Amino acid sequence: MKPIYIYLTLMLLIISCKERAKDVVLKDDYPPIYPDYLLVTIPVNIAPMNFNVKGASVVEVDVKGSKSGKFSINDDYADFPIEDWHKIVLENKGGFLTFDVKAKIDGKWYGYKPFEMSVSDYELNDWGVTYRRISPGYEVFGKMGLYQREIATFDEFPIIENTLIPGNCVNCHTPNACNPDSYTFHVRGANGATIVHHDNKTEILQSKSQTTGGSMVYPYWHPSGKYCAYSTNATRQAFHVVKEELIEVFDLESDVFVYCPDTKELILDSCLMTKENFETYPAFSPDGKTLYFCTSKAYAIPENYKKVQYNLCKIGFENGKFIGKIDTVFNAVAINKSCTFAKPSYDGKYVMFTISDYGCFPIWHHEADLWLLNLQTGNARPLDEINSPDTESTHNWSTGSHWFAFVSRRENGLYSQLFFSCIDDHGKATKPFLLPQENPLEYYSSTTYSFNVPDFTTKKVDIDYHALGKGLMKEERVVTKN
Amino acid sequence: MFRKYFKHIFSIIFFITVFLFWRLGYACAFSYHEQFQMFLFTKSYFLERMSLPGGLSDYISEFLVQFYYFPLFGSLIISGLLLVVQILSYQLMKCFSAKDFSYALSFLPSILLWRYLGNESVLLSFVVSCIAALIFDLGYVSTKKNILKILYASLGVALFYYFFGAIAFSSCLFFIVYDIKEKNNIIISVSAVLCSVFFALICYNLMNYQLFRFFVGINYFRFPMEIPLMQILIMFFLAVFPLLGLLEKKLNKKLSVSALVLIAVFGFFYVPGGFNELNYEVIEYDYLVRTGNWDKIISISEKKNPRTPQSVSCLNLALAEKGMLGDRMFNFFQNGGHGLIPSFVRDFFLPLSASEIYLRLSMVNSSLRNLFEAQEAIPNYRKSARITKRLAELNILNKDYLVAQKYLKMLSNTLFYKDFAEDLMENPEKLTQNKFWAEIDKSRYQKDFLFSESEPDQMFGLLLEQNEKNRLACDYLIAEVLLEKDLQKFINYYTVCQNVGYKVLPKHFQEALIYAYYKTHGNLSGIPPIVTAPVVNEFQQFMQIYSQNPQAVKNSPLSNSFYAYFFNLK
Repeated sequence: MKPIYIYLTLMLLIISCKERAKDVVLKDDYPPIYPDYLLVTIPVNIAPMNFNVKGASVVEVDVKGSKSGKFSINDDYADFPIEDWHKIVLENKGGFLTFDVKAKIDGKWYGYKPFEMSVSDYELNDWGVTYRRISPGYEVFGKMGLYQREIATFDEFPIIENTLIPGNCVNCHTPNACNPDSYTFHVRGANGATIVHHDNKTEILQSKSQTTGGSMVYPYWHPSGKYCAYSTNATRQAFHVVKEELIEVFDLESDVFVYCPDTKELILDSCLMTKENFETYPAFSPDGKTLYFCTSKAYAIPENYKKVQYNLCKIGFENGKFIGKIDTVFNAVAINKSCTFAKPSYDGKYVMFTISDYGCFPIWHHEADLWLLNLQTGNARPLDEINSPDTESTHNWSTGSHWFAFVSRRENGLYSQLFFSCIDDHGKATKPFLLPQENPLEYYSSTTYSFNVPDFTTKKVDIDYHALGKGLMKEERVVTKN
Repeated sequence: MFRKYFKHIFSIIFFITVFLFWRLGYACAFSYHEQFQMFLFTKSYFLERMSLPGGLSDYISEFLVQFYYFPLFGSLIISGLLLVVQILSYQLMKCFSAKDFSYALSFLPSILLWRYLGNESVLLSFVVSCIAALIFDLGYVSTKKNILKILYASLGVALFYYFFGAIAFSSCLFFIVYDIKEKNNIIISVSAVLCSVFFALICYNLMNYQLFRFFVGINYFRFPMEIPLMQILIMFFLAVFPLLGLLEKKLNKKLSVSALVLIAVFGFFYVPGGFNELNYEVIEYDYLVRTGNWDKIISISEKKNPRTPQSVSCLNLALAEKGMLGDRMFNFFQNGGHGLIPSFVRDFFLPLSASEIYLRLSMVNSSLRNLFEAQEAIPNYRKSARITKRLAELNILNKDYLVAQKYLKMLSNTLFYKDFAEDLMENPEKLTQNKFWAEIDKSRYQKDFLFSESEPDQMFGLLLEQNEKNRLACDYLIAEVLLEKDLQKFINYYTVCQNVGYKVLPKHFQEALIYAYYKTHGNLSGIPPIVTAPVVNEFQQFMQIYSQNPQAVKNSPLSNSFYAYFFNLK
């Protein structure tokens, strides 16, 4: 070997080795890590829970499993090798991992109180999560799209981006109970449409139905896959003038109906399309026999926007027909609140919803929190274990119904981030953790996007986005029937 | 001596001409371009650019455009790049027998690009790509061995396509032209075309963009759905213009001088045609609002009335900032009620000056909204340093420090906004210690309601409720009702002016008052003393002329009065 190569190899080794901890000053605090992963509970298949130590130039972390396994890393931030990570997490399922962190801050090494992450017994069997990434703006949208992210890795793939259909917005990607064999989402803008993928066919529906007079908006699949419930909302925005509030989103009117992809028919029922009430956010129960929805007394908008408060109601659904009368499941108005975005767990035990002071669009409400309704006891309670002083909303359940994803604006009050939490057999949720990123501080501090409407997906969403893009650029649309 | 250096001399003359053209005529264009990007010295910014074909030219051009922050640098950069294009063009023509006589023709690609750059939506990335293509062409010409040529036409083309984008097709076409001229086997050059097409298709398959964009460039033009014909023509011209070198043998000294003169004349008439006067009017007004150059706005308006809603609103802001809105607004063309604050449109440029107007009126959230929307509407999905800076300031004003911190952190990775960002990151409260911001904070709405763009007078009135000394709000309130010719509202509102502390009621307000009084009473006896004698005299003159020949008002100094505006006699 020529001396030059030896020299280069040595240089490379020197460069790649970070300084080891020495003369460590011990502190009686937990390390100031970002994101806050202290004492969280994680699923076995989660991607490495990398973290940064605020202000540190070098970080040394010893990871030890309560059952077996250990490894150490030494880097700019806690960047765990993916194979070592998955091995140690799997070996310690039902146990916990201990992280002993030392960090070099302003030239000095500090040692911190070790912290733990519990590894849940409850499996998160889904392949990944889907979400929309968009700037938290007003009416105009720049680059945005629907994305899918593998839970076990940092790999993110676009489902569809609006670069394919410039000037348009895509939203509300909704699979059938996390199974992307059936999905629906909307495109808003000059090339607007509702996309329904079902039975290996993708249909581009006319965005506005002549029957309902409005666009198909919030969707939810019937577990059979034969139907998909939608709301149709005449949504508007207005803008606050004070520093504490920015945007108010409200519906001038809204109704709920069910679409049958096989026949292209809309199943309408007068009791879900009343003039006196707003009906929105439909969701089928896991057995498909009940349709939940949120309803409020209709008011003249915008002058009465603060009076609009929604209750959670339900109606029977069988063989493509609504049956029985409407029942109130949760009376939010009675506690002077508004209940929206109800999502039943797939095991039939719970309905999770968002509670805010008023209105139908809690994402702009700082007070919005997640609540959990136990369908067996009928008791509803705020999920204090996961709520923060800022907005929590747009949640969805994993297929096993022990994990759920939601977005929160807790970090800065504007940019919503994706969190996960686990619910045990007694309905108690664990401290939520932020969607892991390879270099979380770098990622989250530089991103100008909000995460929106996360959902789990059992497998990678397979979509021919070029064919879809071409279809959207054409004028032909499937027209729904009565 | 002259013969030895004439090429250098003409190139230098060309450089100086281009420099002066931009520096003296279109300096505002640099602010326009600079404000629709934010070059960050970060790895992720580089990788984001490099994730698309043409990414390297985007990266280089955005690096250069950040220097447009100073228009002087902008002029130097544009003239420098066009000079490089000319020099490379000549080098390429030399491969086609060009020598001294055909030198003049080597200016043609630069002149075409110069005119094309007049279109404010053309991105510098296209010029950078053209330069890269000319260098790439020279590389092909100087590659003699077949094996190297094959590598050049396959791997080289693939890499070139990825780094510089669709301009690679222009180079491939040049390879064919060159091989035909050299009587080479054209299989290699044809395969270069196939290779670039193949690579473009691979990229298309991997990326969420429409097919045509991989063949005409993803980011050569600001609007993704538009590709100007001129761009295609330039791409084609770059491939074939070296053939002009073949004219060398047919030219002599006399013809060569004539060609140079002809090209200079051609450039003189051809280049300005690429600059849309109306677009640049708006760009200039926006630039002057950005820099707070109110006197300049008024002086250019005195020379030529602004013609677009945006420029009219900029002028009105300038007048208001100089305390002259109520005295001089009808000296200029006015655009009705929307002339004060243009209606919101989903655009990346128009809301910028609207946001400045809202800000100076202390309508902080409306300013924030216009800025945020403008940034989101940037057609090629870039972020704007100008907007991000303002967003940071407004978020600090809203006490959303963590959001502001996010924007400041981004700005701390820029060259020209770094100091500003670091300063505020250390101490965000410093912002409100500044008199300008403290005044806005004091005058902003404290009681919540939903903003109504369709009721501007109500919005201005509520501002005055918050701070009765907010002169700008008072000027805008009265100006609004005058522009709407709503005398009833004027009578209801004008008393608020007393609290603002005008020494003398502004002239146009007096004019409205005297006219309203005259309309109600039928004469001027008992007119409030707030109306000064010259205004009374002017009104009497107006009534006299108007009763004899209304059209005569248009040519008299009275055309600059509220009455003339009221009776459509401007």
